[in-house]
Amino acid sequence: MAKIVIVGAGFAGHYAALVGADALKGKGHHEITVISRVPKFTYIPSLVWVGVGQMAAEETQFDLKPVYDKMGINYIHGTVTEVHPDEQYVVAELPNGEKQNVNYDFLLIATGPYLNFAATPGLGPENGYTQSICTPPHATEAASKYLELVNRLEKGDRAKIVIGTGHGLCTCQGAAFEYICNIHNDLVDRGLRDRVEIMWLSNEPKLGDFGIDGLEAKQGSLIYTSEMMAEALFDEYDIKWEIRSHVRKVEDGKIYTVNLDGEEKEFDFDFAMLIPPFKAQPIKWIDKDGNDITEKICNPAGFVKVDANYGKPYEELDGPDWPRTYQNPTYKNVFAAGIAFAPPGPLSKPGKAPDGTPIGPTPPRTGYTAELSGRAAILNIVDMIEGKEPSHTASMAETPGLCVASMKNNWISGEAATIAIYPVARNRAKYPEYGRDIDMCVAEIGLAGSWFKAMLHYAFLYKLQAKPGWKLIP
Amino acid sequence: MAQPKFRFSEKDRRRRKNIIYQLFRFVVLGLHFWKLVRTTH
Repeated sequence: MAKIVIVGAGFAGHYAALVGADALKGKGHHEITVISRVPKFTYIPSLVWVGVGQMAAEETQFDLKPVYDKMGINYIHGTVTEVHPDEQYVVAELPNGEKQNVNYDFLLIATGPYLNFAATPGLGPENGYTQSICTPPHATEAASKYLELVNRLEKGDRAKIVIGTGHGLCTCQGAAFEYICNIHNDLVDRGLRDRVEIMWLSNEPKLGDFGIDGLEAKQGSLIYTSEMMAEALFDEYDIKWEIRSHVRKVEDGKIYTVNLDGEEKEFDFDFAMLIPPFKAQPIKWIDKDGNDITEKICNPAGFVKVDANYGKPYEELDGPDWPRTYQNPTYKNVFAAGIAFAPPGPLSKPGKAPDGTPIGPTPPRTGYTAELSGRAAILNIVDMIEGKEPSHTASMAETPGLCVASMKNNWISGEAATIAIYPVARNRAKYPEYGRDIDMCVAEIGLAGSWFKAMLHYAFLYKLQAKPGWKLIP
Repeated sequence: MAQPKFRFSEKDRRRRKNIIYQLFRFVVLGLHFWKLVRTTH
């Protein structure tokens, strides 16, 4: 009997638990335990609509326990604080403050990110002046503050809105892009758009980079780029932009930035939603002698090292350097997936301001990419239980990135950018010209995307509750 | 010489909102997504 412990129940961890339970059915008595600090699954892509006040947070969530009961998976509501990889157990802190040791034969770390608002003074809704749409409470609060602003605008006020990233090393520019477009269209529908100046503020090296080094797609004879798409869209929406920027600090109504050229700037705002930088959930790795070996197992941000080629400069990094099996090189029974695995480097070109401040997106590995890595990791664990070598791969340099960026949620007048890239990480060894198969890449704005986005919301929530036929939904 | 900036044409804007055209694109893009998804499952 093998004991598998999965830490985290987001896209990677939760999907891995379902796939693992299904794959181990009828293969002996094996045990899967999920430890999550939140008792609900949240479909994070829909939080953009929560943040505009168009959807309740509850509509993006479901309780994990009933799903796990149905699938024969154990569930522990708690926060993992320590991993003891030699003795093969994790320490979970329960909501009542008690600690519980949970033994494992195989461990999958899929904790998702720690939202590091503290990296920028004044950032975030709790100890700062900006909003976030990264969690259901944050998105709900962002909606409330936004609707307060709408009330003021209806009384004749004018306002400045800033949306984007709140640090030079942020990821998830796509979520902020969706939010700025939804805010624009919501204000248009309310007849208030002419009273608001909207600005996009981000750490991207170029507009439309989205942390994936942008994309190219064929449109007839034209090579159409995400930069062209974003620039044309912002021009049409009358959204100003300030990119290549790190937010140094935020004060009440004022954002201070420095950019790659070393220019220090200040921007006033009445409402700002800035995505925080991510770091790993704080977990200590302790060896059999009680030594802290976190630095050996994880990268400096705390993400778990896997089968990637680490240490290469950006210019030399290529497709084969990206992890394939998500197995930790030191402890072969430990895997990491989703945001929790340490990427070998950024997808977008990193830069530095003259004062040395690093400015450049860190690689996104959320949503579909997280699911694929979680699936590969758990199927590799199943391989090992069966006495085989890990055979399942989901390298970001071999798998597609599928993204539907909502711009307005409406079945008749909605819009979204439908984006497909193959592969996510440029693989110049395989595709020398662009690093991607641009015949497979798409970037298209239209109502159809809005239908996709709505459909994905329902399809994912259905699939991830393991309802009848869930396995048919990829 | 600087490249002229890309901007959406009136035709692009009309197509983005045209339900018939978008139904067609929904099918085309859906099949494309499915093709990409099948590379990994």
